[in-house]
Amino acid sequence: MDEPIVIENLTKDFNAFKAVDSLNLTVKRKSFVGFLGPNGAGKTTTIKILTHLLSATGGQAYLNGVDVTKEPKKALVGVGAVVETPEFYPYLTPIETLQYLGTLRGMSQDYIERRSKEVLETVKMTEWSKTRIGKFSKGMKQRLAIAQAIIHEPHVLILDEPTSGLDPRGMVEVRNILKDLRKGDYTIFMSSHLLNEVQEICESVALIDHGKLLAYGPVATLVEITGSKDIEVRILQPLDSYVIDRVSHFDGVERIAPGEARQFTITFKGKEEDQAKLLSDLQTLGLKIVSFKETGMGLESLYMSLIKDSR
Amino acid sequence: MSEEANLTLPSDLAQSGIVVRYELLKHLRSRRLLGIFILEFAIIALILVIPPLQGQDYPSDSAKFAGMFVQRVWILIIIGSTLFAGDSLVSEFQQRTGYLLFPNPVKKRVLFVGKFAASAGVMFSALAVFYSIVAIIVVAIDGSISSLMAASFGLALLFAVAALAIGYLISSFMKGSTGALILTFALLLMILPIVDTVATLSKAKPDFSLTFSSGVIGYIMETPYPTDFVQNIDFGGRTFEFLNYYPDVSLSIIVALAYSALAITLAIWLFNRREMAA
Repeated sequence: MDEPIVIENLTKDFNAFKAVDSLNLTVKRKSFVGFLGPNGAGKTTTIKILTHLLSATGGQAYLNGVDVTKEPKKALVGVGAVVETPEFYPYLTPIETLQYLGTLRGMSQDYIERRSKEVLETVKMTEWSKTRIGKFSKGMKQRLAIAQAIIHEPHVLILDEPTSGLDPRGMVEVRNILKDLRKGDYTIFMSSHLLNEVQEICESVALIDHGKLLAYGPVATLVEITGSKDIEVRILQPLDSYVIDRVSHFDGVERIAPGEARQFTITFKGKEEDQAKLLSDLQTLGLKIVSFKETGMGLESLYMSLIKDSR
Repeated sequence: MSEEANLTLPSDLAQSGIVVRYELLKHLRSRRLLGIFILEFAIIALILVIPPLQGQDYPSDSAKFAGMFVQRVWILIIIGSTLFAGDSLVSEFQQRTGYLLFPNPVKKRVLFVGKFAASAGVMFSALAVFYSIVAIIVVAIDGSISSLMAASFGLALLFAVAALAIGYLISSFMKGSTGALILTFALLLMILPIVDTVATLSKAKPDFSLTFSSGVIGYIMETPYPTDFVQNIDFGGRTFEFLNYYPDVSLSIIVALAYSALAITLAIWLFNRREMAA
């Protein structure tokens, strides 16, 4: 199956509110696609429809060629999913949980035992394998959620904000697990509202807002299209309106946003030579520049401009 | 990917069996099952202790003696259905375990059947333990046992299924576990009995009521089986007429079956439609 995930005209209405609006999206095999959008954009709703947690109002969503809205049992065979932060049965241990879900999926006991060891090793939960889940931390549960999603070696992995609510260490751990998964034969579709996360681990990105697809393509290509970046500038003297006005008229400057105290951010579009010229132009204004550094990524600029346009 | 990854899904029936196994594990590891056993022992101990404390002998007829115990079975069924059914479905949504279970290739009605069968299994076990202890006590004290106990046990199982079905129905639409538990308990212990009383006072026999019909579990131990009668009571110079109704055995069985079928069908339909929207 070259395109394990195909979404066609998918629509979901919650009374008068259209959470997903005729969404079309195709995910190619062995790709890692980030599904990006602000809160309420329709990411989780789409993922819930894909994992049969919600019904669609209209359209189709194919997983490995089977429409999940019509034949969910068949469609979900080769799919692993982590939706929101799932809770586990507190009376079961990780090993028992994996056995339960593995048996439901038709795995043999030998296969479950072998894979349980492997996946618990992958998510670094081996030492907790026989402890009841009841008092596990959110990070441990999230790692276990990934383990259960991959125990049956699915071709398709659907992840909904897998680092949401985790502390920084937990986020790094989960991202490292996801990066490792890229080496396997997985097609991964992951929603997130964290731009840096998507840029760090995904190959392609689909931007969504108001339930509609705004842009879709390889991260590098999309970043190149925008060509703009945020540059944070810190100066010694206070920023005045004269400087703001002058800077806003420099070549390549799209906007200037004053920040805290003696700091401002310039959204800039141009090549490296243009960026070097900007620095020298700022100095010609008499500004005593302490630091001049890129902070925003291209993806963020694209995201902000597309989201702004769609609202 | 290994070759083993090309999985063949188990049949719906086999998946139900898997769900039963893990649901039973849940009940076995919970304090609720222990609680119901403690309650059983407490009820039996009280019934055994009270007559001697009041200077009374136990009934010489083994059926009557056993009847003292089995009349209390309905309260066990109410508590059991509250504990083993009341929050069984709603917890998947409220506790968010549905996010783990539902994205698996298993139909919701299969999950329902597995869960219900496990609840029924636990309830049947609790009732079997109760009737076994009562049988041992009756044989030990009276030296014989009435075959009517088997009939009472059969009726208790039937009414347990009906009460569990009510619990599952409530669990299928309630938003919170606590509310579902309270409503199940209150409905079976208070609301339906109040309806029974109101109907009786209105001179309408509440044959339609599950709680009224459940009386058959205890009455079946009486020989002859009690029949409806009118009781006149003089109070303050006036005569009041009280109707004493007893459930008909056949009709009670039909009522229990009807409640079970309707509640299960409705609960499956609601559970199937319910989504993880929150």
